[in-house]
Amino acid sequence: MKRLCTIKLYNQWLIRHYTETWLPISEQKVWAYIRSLRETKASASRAVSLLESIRFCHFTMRVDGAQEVLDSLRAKGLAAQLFASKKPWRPSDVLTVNDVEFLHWCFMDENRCEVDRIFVGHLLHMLYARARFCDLLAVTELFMDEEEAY
Amino acid sequence: MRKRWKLKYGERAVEVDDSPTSMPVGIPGESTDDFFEEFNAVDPITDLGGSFEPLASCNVTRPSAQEAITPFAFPPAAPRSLFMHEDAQDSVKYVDKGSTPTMQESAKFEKVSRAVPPGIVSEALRLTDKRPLLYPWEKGRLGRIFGEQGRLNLKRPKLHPGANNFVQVEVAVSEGFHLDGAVSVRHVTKDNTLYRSVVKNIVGCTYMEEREAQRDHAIRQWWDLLRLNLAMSDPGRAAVPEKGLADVYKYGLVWSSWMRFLA
Repeated sequence: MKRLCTIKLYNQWLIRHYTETWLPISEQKVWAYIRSLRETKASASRAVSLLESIRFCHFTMRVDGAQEVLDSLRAKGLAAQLFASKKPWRPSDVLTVNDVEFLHWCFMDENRCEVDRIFVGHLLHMLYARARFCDLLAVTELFMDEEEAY
Repeated sequence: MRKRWKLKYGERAVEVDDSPTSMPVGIPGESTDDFFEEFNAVDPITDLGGSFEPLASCNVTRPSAQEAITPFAFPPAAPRSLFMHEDAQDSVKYVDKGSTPTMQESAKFEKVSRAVPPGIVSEALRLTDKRPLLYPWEKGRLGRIFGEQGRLNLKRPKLHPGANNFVQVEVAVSEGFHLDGAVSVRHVTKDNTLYRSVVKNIVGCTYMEEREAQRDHAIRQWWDLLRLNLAMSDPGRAAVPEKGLADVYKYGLVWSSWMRFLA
């Protein structure tokens, strides 16, 4: 959906300014679009997201003209310049050993609500499996290693 | 002279004139007489010995009985020039008390005088400064000194109860500069479950079903973009020989040829 929205915005801009659709992809039009993004002070990642979407279109659907855009140095350079003005990424603090021990303590505490304990176990599973939240949501089969084979 | 006026104008038939007139129309608050009286000035018209008066039949300003009996009552009237005084004596208005139609005609006369466009009235009200007039010692720095508001704004520490705080603290400053604190505790039943305070909304389907619905929506949106020019992408080029242009544009999406690109 992210790539889809990016291409839809580009298509709408082309229809508004050139009365053309996005197919075939033209390097001049992409360059003009990125310049307009810079003039209108759009968000810093819009141009990079467009190039990513065009790369997706090239390798999955073989859209004509996508390779020309991916080889364009001026498009990639200007997109990189715009992306450089993005605010630094500030993620949450990393978990400490005390935090993980507290999660283990909560997981083993029988006085706590079972729903909370299940969720804490889910968090620990994510932590040790290096998985995202949505990754574990896609789990459909559960295997209990009672014999500790693994 | 009164008799001559009465003989000349008193028995004159009253004629109603509804047509627009070129006579000056008096708007309340804009009378020039008030202006001249306020500044003790002499009206140029009366100064030159002339007078401008409406017809006696249209005159509705009757002097009250008190004014007629005690013309020199306290407080005294504003000083006026000698000529103006004599002229005022000469221009005493005669009003026939028995003429009842006069009141009806006066109402009509007022209606003509209010023929001001309503936009002007609303605009005047809008432009009027409705803030109360403040004296210099009622505003600004002097206002803080002489007013009821103190010069120092003492910050009152206050602690409101929240999700993680169930204690409310109220501290008030009395006139004798004594601090009196009051602590009130809100009794809540502590729930041992944390997820109830965190989980706000639950989707009525499983995660996989939600993902599947989003995927179908995204595929249809992609196809709407790709079929703008079918010859410029592999899904379009594959769909045309497989189903034909008629079916492609009729059904919009050819699933069999399209799904393998995103599988």
